[in-house]
This record gives sequence, structure tokens and C-alpha cells, in this order.
Amino acid sequence: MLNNIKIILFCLIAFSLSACTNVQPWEKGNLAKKEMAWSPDAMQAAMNSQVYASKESSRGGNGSAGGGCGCN
Amino acid sequence: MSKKLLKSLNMAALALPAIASQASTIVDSAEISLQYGKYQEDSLSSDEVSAGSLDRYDIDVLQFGFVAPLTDHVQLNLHYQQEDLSGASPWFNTKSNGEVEQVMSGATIEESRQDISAQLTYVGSNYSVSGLFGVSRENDYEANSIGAELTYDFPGKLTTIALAGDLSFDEINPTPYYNSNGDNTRVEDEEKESWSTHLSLSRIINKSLLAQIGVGAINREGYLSDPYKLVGVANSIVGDARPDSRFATTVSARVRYFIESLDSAFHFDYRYYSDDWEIESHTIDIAQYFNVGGGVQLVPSIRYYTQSEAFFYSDYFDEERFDNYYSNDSRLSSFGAITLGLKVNWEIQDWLFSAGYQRYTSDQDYSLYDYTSSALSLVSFNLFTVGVNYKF
Repeated sequence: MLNNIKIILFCLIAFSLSACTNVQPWEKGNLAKKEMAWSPDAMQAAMNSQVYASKESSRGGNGSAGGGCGCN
Repeated sequence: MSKKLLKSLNMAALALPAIASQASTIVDSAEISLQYGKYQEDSLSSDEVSAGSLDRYDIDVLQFGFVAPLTDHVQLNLHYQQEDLSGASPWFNTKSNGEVEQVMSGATIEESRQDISAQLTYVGSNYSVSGLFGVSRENDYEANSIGAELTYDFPGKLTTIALAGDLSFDEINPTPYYNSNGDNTRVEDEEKESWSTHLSLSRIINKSLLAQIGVGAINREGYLSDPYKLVGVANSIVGDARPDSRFATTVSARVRYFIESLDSAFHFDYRYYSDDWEIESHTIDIAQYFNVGGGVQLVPSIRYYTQSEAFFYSDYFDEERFDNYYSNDSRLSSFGAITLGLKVNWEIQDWLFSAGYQRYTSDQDYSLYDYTSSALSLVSFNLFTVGVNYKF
């Protein structure tokens, strides 16, 4: 639990200290590219997620709140 | 222009059986996608198995997706998945001359699963809200889920917060197994209920860099054991018996970095998981999206995973446990796994063709955690995928 707290604090600090330049709308070209999406290939991500949830003991944590399957 | 760009950055993907959404983006036009996957587990060698089949699972997966804007502010996502599974799976372990040996089931498992889900999203000027539901059906398992997701862009449009939650109600009716008296030795009509929630914060760091941190919780209650597995306990065989509740938390961090000189995007994802079965894990995913010209994109990737063992796991129990929890399912053991992958995408006008391959190997020696017991049925597999996407 203490480890979790340390990780979260670190991330929050990193976020607030990060050199956030003010990005103008016309500068956002690269950010909008499909390969910069959190999940450019949703179908592949879903398949991978399901395979790993069936073969390993961890679930979630990828921003999704997933429903169930009988994956034994 | 900037509204759309920012919206495409907001994460909060909410994935039911297979919809992963970019909740605060409305697509420009309708899209239809089809993907086929072939999953093949490596066979075991005869010295790894004392009885039963050497072959493991072989699964064919077909995924169909459709997304369309219904109005300027509303989007509909539909997903259908069909899976056909055949093969054998680890059944129980025995102990002979001090050595633990694995017994596999016969290669007679054949199952089919159908999955359908739908999501409706409304996108406002600086927020979005979406609702989704999904059902999953196999001959022995039924799952019904609902979920919702909210995103909000802070003034300045550099930071987005997202909150997602879902509920799932599952029913388990295992295929019966009759003993010599004609009695079914497996459980019947069991239930499971789960809920999960996830909160994330995404930020544009500069014109080439995005970062996100997230925390989540997952709660599962009800029948959580594997009805098809048995466990060797002090010279007898009992059913797989796990606690009837499981609570987990996750912490995650992700980065997307565009390298202009290479026309390439770098992806880094990290997740920490911890639950009250004493399973802790770390997952690192790294991928590089290379645009090589002619509409072709190459994506090599690598994933490392490691987990600790559950408190009630052992490959064999010499003595009874005071709490009567037992499992020899290797998925609850301490192990590590590495996946190497390569995907090729080819975009030509309104079409996108893709093909991918992943190789997964797992081993106790790859684990960062100690282990008190061996794991005889860790899996290695190949996963091939081909897909097509059309915008109209």
C-alpha cells in the first residue's frame, strides 16, 4: 500500500513539474495522429486484453472497466 | 479543428467484452472492421505430462466492429465476437515418489462463445458521457455487463480527467462430470458479481508528448473457483477452491511521444496490480509505430509481465490448509512472461489492412518474485491476426 502511495505521489509531482509549454491549436498536428492515440488499434487491444486476462492473474488498469467472460 | 484534435487525445477507454472507446471523439464517418485471430498454445512434451492429452488450446476468434456518428454529438459503437475453442487443459496434479506430476484433460473440449456489446456516446464542448452494455454467452457461462464513462477537459484544453465504472453479473453452469454412482461431481448454477472503476488524468506536455496516470479498483464476489480443475491434497483429490471475494487495485502510467525525425510514435505503458489474494504484478508494454511510406506502418512491440503467487497456490498440497482454499492453477503461481510482437498496417484510401504476429512465453525464471512452488502448466503461445477496416 505504501508503495502504491509513493507511485501516485511521484506521478502527480512529475505531472505538475513537467515543462508544460502552452501548446497552440495549430501546433497539435502530431498529437492528433492516429499512432499517438492511447489505443490506435482498439480491436487488437481488446483481443490482447482478453488473452492476458485468461492466461494471467491481473485484470484492468488500462483505463477500461471491462465486463466478464467465462475465460477459463 | 482544435476541438476535434483535443478530443482525440482523451483517453478513458471503457472496454466491455471488446469495445475500447475514445469516449470524447466523434468519428467523421462510419467505419466497419473485421479481424480474425488464430491463437495456438504450444503442446506439452510427454515428460511434462503423466496422463491426458499433450495438446493445449487452439482458438479461432472473429471480431466484427461498427462505429458511426448519429449526429454531430452522438456516436454509436457496436461489437460482435465469435470464438471457437478446442483442445485440452490442465486438470490436476498428483504426487508420485516425491515428484509432482501433471494430469491433463482429454483433448475433447470444444466450446463456442458469442459476445455482443453496444456503446452510445454524447460529446459536449468540454465533456463527454457514454453508456454501454454487453452480453457474453457460452454453453456453460453467461455474463451481462453495463458501464458508464465521463470525461471532462479542463479550461485550456491541456488536461482531461476521466471516470469509468462498470458492473457485471455472471452465471456459471459447468458441463457435468458423472462419477461411478451417476452423480454430478461439479457445481451447478453458480453466480459471480463484479464491479470496477477507473480514474485517469491525461495531460499534453508539449506538441509531441502526452502522458497519463490512472488508478483503478476491481471487486469480484461469488463463485471464483475453476469448476473444471481438481487439486491433489494429502493423498486425496478435491475441487479447486478459491475465496469467494477478491478486491484489487491498479496504478498505471502511459506516455505517447512523437519523434518527428523518424515519423514515428513511441508508446510506453506501465501497470501495477495488487489484490487480496496476495497477487501483485507489474506489466510494461513498449511499442514503436514507424511510418515507412506508401501508407505502410510497422509496429514492433515488447511486453514484460511478472506476478507473485496467490496465498493458497501450490502445485501439490501435502497437508490440508486451515482455511480450505486450494488451487494448483499455474495462472495463480509466481511467473514472468515476455511477448514479442510485430504488426503491419497498410492504409490505402478508405481501406486499412493489417496483419500481426505475437509470440508469448512464460516461465518461473522470468519472475521478479520468489516462488514457493513450481508451476507445471505455464503456457506459451502464438497469436496471428489479420484485419480489415473500411471508412464510408
